[in-house]
Amino acid sequence: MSSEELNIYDAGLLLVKKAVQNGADEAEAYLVKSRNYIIRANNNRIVGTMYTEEYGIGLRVSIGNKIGYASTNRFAIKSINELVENALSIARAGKDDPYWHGLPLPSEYKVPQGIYSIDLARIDEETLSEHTRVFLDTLLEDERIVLVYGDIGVSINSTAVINSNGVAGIEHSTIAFADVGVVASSGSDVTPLVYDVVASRIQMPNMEFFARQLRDTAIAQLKPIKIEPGKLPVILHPLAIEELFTYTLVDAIKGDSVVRGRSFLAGKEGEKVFSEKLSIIDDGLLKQGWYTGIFDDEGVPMQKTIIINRGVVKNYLFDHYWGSRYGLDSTGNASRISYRTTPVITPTNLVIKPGDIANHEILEETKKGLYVMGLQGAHSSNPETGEYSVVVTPAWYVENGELKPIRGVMISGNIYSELARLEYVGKEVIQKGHIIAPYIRLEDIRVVSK
Amino acid sequence: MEDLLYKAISYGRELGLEFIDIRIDDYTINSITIRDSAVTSSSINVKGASIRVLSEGVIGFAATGIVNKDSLKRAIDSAYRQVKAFKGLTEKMGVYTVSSRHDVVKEKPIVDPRDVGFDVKISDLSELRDLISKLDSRIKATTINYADIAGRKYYISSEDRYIEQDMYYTWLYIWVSAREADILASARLETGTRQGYALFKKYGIEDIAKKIVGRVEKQFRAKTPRGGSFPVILAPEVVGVFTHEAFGHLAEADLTLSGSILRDKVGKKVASKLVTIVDDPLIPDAFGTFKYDDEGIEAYPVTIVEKGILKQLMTDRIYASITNSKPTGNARAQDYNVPPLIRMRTTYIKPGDMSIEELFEGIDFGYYVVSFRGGQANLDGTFQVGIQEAYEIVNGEIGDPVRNMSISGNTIETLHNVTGVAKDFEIGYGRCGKGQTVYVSDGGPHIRVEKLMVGGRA
Repeated sequence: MSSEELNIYDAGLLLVKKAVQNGADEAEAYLVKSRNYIIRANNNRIVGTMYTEEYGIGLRVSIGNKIGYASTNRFAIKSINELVENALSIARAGKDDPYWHGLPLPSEYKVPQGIYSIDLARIDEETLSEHTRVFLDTLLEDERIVLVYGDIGVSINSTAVINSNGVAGIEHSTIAFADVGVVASSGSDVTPLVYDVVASRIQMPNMEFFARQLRDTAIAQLKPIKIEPGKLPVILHPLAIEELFTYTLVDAIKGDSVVRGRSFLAGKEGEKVFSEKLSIIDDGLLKQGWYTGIFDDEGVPMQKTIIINRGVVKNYLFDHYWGSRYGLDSTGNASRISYRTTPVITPTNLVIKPGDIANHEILEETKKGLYVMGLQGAHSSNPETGEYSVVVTPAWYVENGELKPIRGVMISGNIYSELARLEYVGKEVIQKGHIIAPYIRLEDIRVVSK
Repeated sequence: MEDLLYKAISYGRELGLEFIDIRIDDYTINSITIRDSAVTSSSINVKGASIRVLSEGVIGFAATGIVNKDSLKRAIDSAYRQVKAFKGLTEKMGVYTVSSRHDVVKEKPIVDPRDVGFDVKISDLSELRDLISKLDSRIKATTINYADIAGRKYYISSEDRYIEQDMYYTWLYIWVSAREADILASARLETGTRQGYALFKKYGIEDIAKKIVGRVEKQFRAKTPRGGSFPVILAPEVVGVFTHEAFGHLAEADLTLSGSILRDKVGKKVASKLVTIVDDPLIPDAFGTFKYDDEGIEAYPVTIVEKGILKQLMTDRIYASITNSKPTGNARAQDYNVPPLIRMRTTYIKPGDMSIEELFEGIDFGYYVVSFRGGQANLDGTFQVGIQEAYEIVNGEIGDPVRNMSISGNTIETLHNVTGVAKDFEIGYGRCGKGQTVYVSDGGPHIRVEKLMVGGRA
């Protein structure tokens, strides 16, 4: 720890000072150091193991209302001088942005629990090898399973955000994850890809449990039945919710979509838009959440924001820029894909508040319907209107609570109006990506099949 | 650079490694995002090294953002530690090796994007944005993403291969949203060039604006489609995404071997005899064009399907070794931080000999799909392509526009149902994500599919 990791903080202070000395009205440095281990498997074998170290600085400056951004992965003095000059010359070449409200001001940080583990930070190749062995042994015990692809890995990150208004934060974090796709085959019957992801901020996820779950899901896709087209209730697993929401509702609750009139939720604060069964909270301080942190990628404290309360629109997600344009404070939702990119609004841990029926009870109460663990083509949905038309895979036909695998079935509809009619929200939540959700059941969905 | 890299290779040899290769990235990405009136510009210097080693049947990889003697040595040591920790865990891996070669590949773009200031680029893109909003007052939001990449890649291996290659990519992506009363509509457009700062010379700012606004306008007067199976005519843009997403990925050897529907089908009929599918690294000005891939292998065209028969898969050095074949030059990496994977280049269906008009003949009712929103496929051959511009076909004529439509089916069944291939040809520009993002092209002629599942709004 210590000396090496203090570097990015000190480098940030220097960089901001230098940018201001050279003519910036404001300056913000975002610095990362990360170490990543990844074990990659394909076709039942480990095709490669990887270790990468990434260092990077992104510098944002303003001159009046003009903004410039530049980044580098070199920390040498010469590169840092170049970086300052680059950012300033881009700002000078830019256009006035009348909405520019400056960079965030400092505020006090709360430190959330469970974002760093010394064991993960010190993990070595041998330990990873052992976890990988357990995973492969469990998964491939059943000879019908093929591991199509899989990444098992650990990331150890330090992030600093320093700006000329006095924002100065440094954070150390860890996350371990596995991201795997498998198929099962029996004779000429090959299932579609069954995908799942698991992660933990504080330890290696239980690889045996994860492997067994994947294996069972894939086997349960064998021997599909045919179904008739029609209108049916559709139960979505959190994996499918994550895919559908990412390309629809998540876009609609982002402050930039609201300000720009791209969101159907614009101007609907305080209005009841969805079923009262639906409450959604963005919680950047959630204990051990995958996206929990002390501050966001502009140095604004992470917070808990109520987005939808019993169907009523309460707040949107904002970074500093779009919050200012809307006349509100940032909600701590600025995020960067890497140091190379400028911040964009992104949910942290978006929690769908659990209902009072157990997930399995929703299945049991469904006389005829679909149970869907994944979607194909969710990214072609229309975020403005909520319209989607996707293939459900893996998916099962539910008949009096019993599951029978189906293939190549499409569903289509409008997720926004379906959420207005939402009746069933499960009790047990699971995190998949930015979404933490239970099972939900959508009613009267158009099902197309061959 | 050359000397530094040779020394690193020697160090790897001293460790007794069976194979070692090093890639260096050294380039600049200049990007501009315009969201309505807000302009964000960014300049990124990318420099780094990746090392790959093979020893004791394990392939280890390490990447570093620092390119000097010590950091390369540390990366080799790290890869070597991985080899030791993971040996014997699964079946042994190998790397297909080739003979020695030295080459420097220089490119001459029309205008080097590094010689054009941000002020000029911002002013061109602002003009584009202004034109778009002037063309239709219902347009509420316009997002323009622009990026140019210029620089050089280096490759060296223990086979005494040393390759330097210039690279230039210019990319433009536009998303437009419009609203009329309560109806929202949106459209996307993606394009590019390899000729440096030459996009607007190639297409014209006004043409680009008209094209995307046209796509939005039609949605306001569009119907929702009937669900079910219909004859469908696919225009080149949709043929491209279908060929890439629904078929191409299944013919990437890593995915084929993982149980894609094409597994064990080489030499067998997988499409109508009218269908020939090629993945080509030689098309001028396409995103998938290069002389050497990211494993230093000469890239050559792969005829995946010839007259309906599956002929060849796309491979890299690793899968060439597994399948006892030659690498095809399809190994591509997003950047130095990640190892190369089997990726497509420019993938297309070869033109046939029919006219576009002939394709429409005899269709009482069907759909003409022109432009897509996104596409995705599964290993079992089910695909879905979301469509943003489509029309009904009524009595052989193009009819009313249709909105929120998608096409879906089984890839092989769909290819067997191709009953017409026109003689026109067009390629498009896009990005492909397979954990890593690379720039690709795809396309083809107009084709007719006798039966395709159409999904629409409830």
